[in-house]
Amino acid sequence: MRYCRATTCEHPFSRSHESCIEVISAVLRTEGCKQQCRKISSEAVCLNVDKVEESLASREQRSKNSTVDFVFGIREKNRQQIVLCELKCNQKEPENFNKSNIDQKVRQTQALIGRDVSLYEKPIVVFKSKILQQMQNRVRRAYNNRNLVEVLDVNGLGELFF
Amino acid sequence: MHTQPLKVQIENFRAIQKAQIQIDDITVIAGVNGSGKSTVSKFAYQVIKTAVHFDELVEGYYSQIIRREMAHISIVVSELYASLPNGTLDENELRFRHDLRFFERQQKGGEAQDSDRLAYMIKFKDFLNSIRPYFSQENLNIQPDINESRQNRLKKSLTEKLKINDDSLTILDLLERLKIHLHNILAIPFETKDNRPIDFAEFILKNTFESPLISKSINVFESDVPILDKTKNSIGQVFSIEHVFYLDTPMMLGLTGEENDHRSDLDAVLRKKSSSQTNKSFIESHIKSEIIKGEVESDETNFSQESFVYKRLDGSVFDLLDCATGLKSFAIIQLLLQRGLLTDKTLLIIDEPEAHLHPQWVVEYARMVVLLNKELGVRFLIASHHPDMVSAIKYIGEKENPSANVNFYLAEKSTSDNYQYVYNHLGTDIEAIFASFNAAFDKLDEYGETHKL
Repeated sequence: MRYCRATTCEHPFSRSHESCIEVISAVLRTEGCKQQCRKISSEAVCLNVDKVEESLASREQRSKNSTVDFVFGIREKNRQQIVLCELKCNQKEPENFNKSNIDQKVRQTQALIGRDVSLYEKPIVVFKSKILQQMQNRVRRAYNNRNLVEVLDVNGLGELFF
Repeated sequence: MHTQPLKVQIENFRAIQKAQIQIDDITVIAGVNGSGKSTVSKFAYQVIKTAVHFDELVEGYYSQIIRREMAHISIVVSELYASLPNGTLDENELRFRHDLRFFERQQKGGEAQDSDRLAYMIKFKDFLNSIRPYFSQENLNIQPDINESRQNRLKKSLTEKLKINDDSLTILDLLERLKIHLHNILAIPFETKDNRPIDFAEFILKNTFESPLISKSINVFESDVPILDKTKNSIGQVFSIEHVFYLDTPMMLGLTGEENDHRSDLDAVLRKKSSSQTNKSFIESHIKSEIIKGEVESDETNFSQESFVYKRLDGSVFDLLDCATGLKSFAIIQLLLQRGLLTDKTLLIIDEPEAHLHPQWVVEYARMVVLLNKELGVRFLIASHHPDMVSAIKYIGEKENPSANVNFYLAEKSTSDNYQYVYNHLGTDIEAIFASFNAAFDKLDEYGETHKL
């Protein structure tokens, strides 16, 4: 399945937070991903869930919950899915992977965006290429070797969905 | 950083198509099974050991030959005495005869040392000179009581010993030949030690590799100078190393009668009493108090000194052979430290140090490696399959000793030959090693249901 702008923008949650729809490459830059991927078009957009949660927390006068950084839609024929994406590009060294932190972010993002469109089978976590293999190893071991999280660099993200 | 870096170079040998591995402070090599990691370790060990302990190896080898010679000489001497008429020996000869009997008793009791044998051989040469007159034709003519059948028996034992098939030779001729033969045997070890011929390295390496090596493109260099100097056909010196050990399994500790050179070499040094100049470093106390919670020592109560005991901090004592294998991994290091054998002139070559260790102890072991290098200057060549060993050496090293020269290598399949490997230098970037480790997850995904919660 490949990136789909319509699936991203027409998701009910996106429609209700249109101001938080942003260009993916801009979000990547803001989150410290210096590496750019040509495959990810400058037109490609996502929903900045972090920003949505920030505004919801402010509006509801509660503390901000942890969510993944952004989500985007993918499509193949009539099948649509939403991909949850967490950016860890600022991480310079392969420190211990905080499994419970990621699990919490995924749970709370799922709760926010609902089940109108099914989710891609695994959440995506993006690291710098320099430590990608080491993080793939750590993440797998954090999940007792189960393949429950997709660990990619920016290029890998582009290759997989764009 | 060591001022005299070592480099192992191997081309087209066994599974290795090309490897140029620098050993500076800590070197880690990784690769799949069968990619030649143990070949690198064994080759480096044998060449460096041969260069460092050349004289001892020569003495050890020739002492075996001399021991065999002694057995023959004893027979010849008995025949000589039996052939001589009574009362013909002067005081010196009688003294020699006394020495001979004493030596034979030592030899039978296993107490004779190589130096005793050598001294005896020299005495024997002198003795041969002194008895020459008794076997001159003139003397034999005027001494009819020298029994003819005895003479024939002596001639027979001499011709057999010297492998000569010539009946025309007299006893005197044969004694002269025996003297030359003994001279050669005595001279060869000295000449070998002086000339350090490369053939001797071939002889040592043959025990491990069972194929001619010198003609191949393999060598070890110190500061870019080849140790196997093929142009001069000699084995060079290694200035920066005094002790080299190769640890391929912690189970080698405490086992006697090992056929593998490196295991019996380690066993021999560990069984020697502690030197007074031990490295009382905090690493030793850290191993004792924080890791294995005790200490390994030679068993003083054992008369034969052939075992080690583990003394736990609570006072309990166990035979080391009954202890956990992982504990022995640290015990070897502890014993080497106790004996003052871990210095800036030590190279420790370790194959898969993680074997038998719980992941926590894998990290402790890696830290110990980093600290031994930092505190004592010990050099390491490590072959590892373990993600925690590789990453711990890198990251603990970067924290504890950022100036150390740590190098990682990965054996990768050759593009031209499916069965051969090229060792790529990664510097301190271990990503490629992890990519190789992570291939296991693809297998796991293929064979198992890993994606289910």
